[in-house]
Amino acid sequence: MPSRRHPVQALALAGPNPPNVYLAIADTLYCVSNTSSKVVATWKAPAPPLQGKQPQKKPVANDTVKADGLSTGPSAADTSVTDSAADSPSSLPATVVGKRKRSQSNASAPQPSIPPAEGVDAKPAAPGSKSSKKNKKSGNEGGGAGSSALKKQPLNYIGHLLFIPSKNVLAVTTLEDKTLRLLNPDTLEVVKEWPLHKRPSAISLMDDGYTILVGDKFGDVYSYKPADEEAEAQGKLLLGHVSLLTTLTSSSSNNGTSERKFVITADRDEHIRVTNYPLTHVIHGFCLAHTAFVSRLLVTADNLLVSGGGDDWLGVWNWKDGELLQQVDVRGVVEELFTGEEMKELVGKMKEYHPQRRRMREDDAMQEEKEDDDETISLAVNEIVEVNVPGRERGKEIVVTLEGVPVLLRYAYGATGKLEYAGSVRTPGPVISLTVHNSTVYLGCDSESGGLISRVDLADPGASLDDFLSGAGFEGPEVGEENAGVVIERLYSVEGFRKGFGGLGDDD
Amino acid sequence: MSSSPAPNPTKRQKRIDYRNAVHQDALPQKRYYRQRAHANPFSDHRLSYPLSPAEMDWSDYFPAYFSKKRKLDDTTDDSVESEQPPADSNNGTTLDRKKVEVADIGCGFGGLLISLAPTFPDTLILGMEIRTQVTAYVQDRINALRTQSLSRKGGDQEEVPGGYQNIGVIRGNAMKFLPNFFEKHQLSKMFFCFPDPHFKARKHKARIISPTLLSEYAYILRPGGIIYTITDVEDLHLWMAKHLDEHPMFERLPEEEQEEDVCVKIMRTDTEEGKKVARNKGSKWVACFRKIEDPI
Repeated sequence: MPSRRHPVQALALAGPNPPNVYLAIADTLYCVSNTSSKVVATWKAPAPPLQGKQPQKKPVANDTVKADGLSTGPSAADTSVTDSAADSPSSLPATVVGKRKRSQSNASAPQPSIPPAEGVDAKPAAPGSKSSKKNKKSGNEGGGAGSSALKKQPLNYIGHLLFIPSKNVLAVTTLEDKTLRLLNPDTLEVVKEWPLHKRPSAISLMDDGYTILVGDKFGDVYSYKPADEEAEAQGKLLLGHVSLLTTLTSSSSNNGTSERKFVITADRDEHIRVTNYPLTHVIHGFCLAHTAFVSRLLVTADNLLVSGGGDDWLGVWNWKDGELLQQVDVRGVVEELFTGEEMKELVGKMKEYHPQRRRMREDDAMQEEKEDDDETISLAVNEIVEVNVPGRERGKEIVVTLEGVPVLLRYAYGATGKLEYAGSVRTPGPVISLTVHNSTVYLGCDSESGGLISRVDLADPGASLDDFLSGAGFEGPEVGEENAGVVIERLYSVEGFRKGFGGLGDDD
Repeated sequence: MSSSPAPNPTKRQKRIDYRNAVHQDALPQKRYYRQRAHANPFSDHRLSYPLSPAEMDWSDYFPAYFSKKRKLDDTTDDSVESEQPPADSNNGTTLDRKKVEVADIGCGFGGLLISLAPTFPDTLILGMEIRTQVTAYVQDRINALRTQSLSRKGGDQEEVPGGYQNIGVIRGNAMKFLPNFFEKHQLSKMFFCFPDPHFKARKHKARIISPTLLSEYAYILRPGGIIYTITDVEDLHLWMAKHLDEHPMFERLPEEEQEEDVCVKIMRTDTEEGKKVARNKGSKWVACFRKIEDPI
């Protein structure tokens, strides 16, 4: 297939009832009216600043390669800065060389660039001429000219969407320029922006209703306050893990006399930490039992913590005491839903999402005759949400999705108060993004069939999916075959947290 | 890529031969355990660590103080407290009654541990070190000292208080996994002796004292517990003192109190790095901080 649909990687709802739907596809955000199913506003993330690690040689004939890698985008307002910015190393403007430099707020402003001189790009400049810069890569530069010529500026992917009702703004993070922006939900104009310290990996709203918490790949959590009266130019460092921060949430507890607030964070090293807020230098406790990364946390309406990650189960916690109340089976459910050829196909497909992991497996298999566990599905929770379903015990359901697995798993409280598996909804493809409004779940799937966004009302006994955008004629941009790998890397990132497969942090 | 390739096969072979040989109670020789002085604290390594402090089996490290944990199929409600702690015939104390109270983070070749052992014979002291070779050295050193101490019993030589049964060493990454080993308020002292300075600004997050990590140390330290730091790098000293000063959970020990503290003396003179700095006539910078009461 020459090209494929780019799935929606982030979803949010905001506005009147029924709310408008905000969907992020690659670097573009669309606002879709819930009544007309029409796109009413779009916003495209500015091209990211050039990174210090970019190939410093002028890529041959790069001008013809579109920097954003997507063939058709409805809004092509912003032009890419890569096309002519980097010609010869000596002419690189100082502002784009530093690793930590970021673009100005108006990032579409053209970078100062010197027109390429003839012949500069004909052959790699002698490494010795780049006197002022450290150039560890000089070896690669000469040899790998062919591959580096094709290297493109990465798209400024949108990472997270978070609607803040109390301020009527939509918080958006972008991964390449590492920026948190607040957008007007109607016009999608940027109202405010903060540069982030590192690439954001998690975002959450403090239960005061307006403080935004952003966790990053270095394990730190910063808070940002959108209120004008407390507008701060910089985020405030609240806490840090020495690990990739995978997810965070917040909660409070009331002992009758006073209410205390807490930030709950999780990392790649199996930890769930409960920290006091605003006195974040006082750690309240840890919830320890997971044997693999923790990738999702949910505080339920009953103030229980549900955790999921690379384990075969979900944890249900009394988070205040660090007490594991229940381990809810996931593997058994998945292995019952997918059997035989279907499971085989699923496992095969999931291996494609993690080429590096696959390589390591092959290495392992060669070195030691390891038993090939290829048949066993690797589980990685990528979403846990609570849904209002009137018919259920406590009127709630917990819905869980797993990376690469085309199903919504429904869990409900049994008579004993324990969470129990309560059915599933098959989806057209692996669920990439998901959001909830009352009893309705909106989801973006990685699939050529079905809607770009599907919708299912879990209060409806039939609970079948419908195509939310049906008839709107909106399909989003397409991904060319040559970029499929890049897109997959972005969309299927959770399994990469697992240890021992040559992924993150594996260097000994 | 491999964990510690010896530069040439003969050296490696010598190491293997040395390790395989039986040394009885002879102290190990450092030259068979050398390892590069830096380790990346952000990488996974191949560490083993307990799921939680309750799951930790300390008997491998302090056999005189802990009984072996039962390995149960169902670990969720595994607890040793239902068992009557067996009496230890060796020193007349009962097992499983003590907890580790002192941690030497980045204990290196173990000089501090070995000096602290007889100074606090009834306190369990754990060294944590991220480098495998160095950890192996300290373990062999402790084993040898324990054996020596036992053979002295009843002899004419003076007995070492505690018999080195109260010190242990573990390979681990303290920046990531301290809460897996220690409960809230478990420790009374933490030592940070001559830590890796990580000079580059972009490496500062790798420093063992950082504003965010201090919150974790404050969680593990009991109120009144003390953090001891010493370094021969003035910049690092200023950094550590600054961040401890600024952290709301710590207050600096008055100069007087600091100088009277026996631990400070030991830290200055008995750590391996401390001796090296003294040989080179370098300066040593000390800063000690007390953890205050938890505000909530």
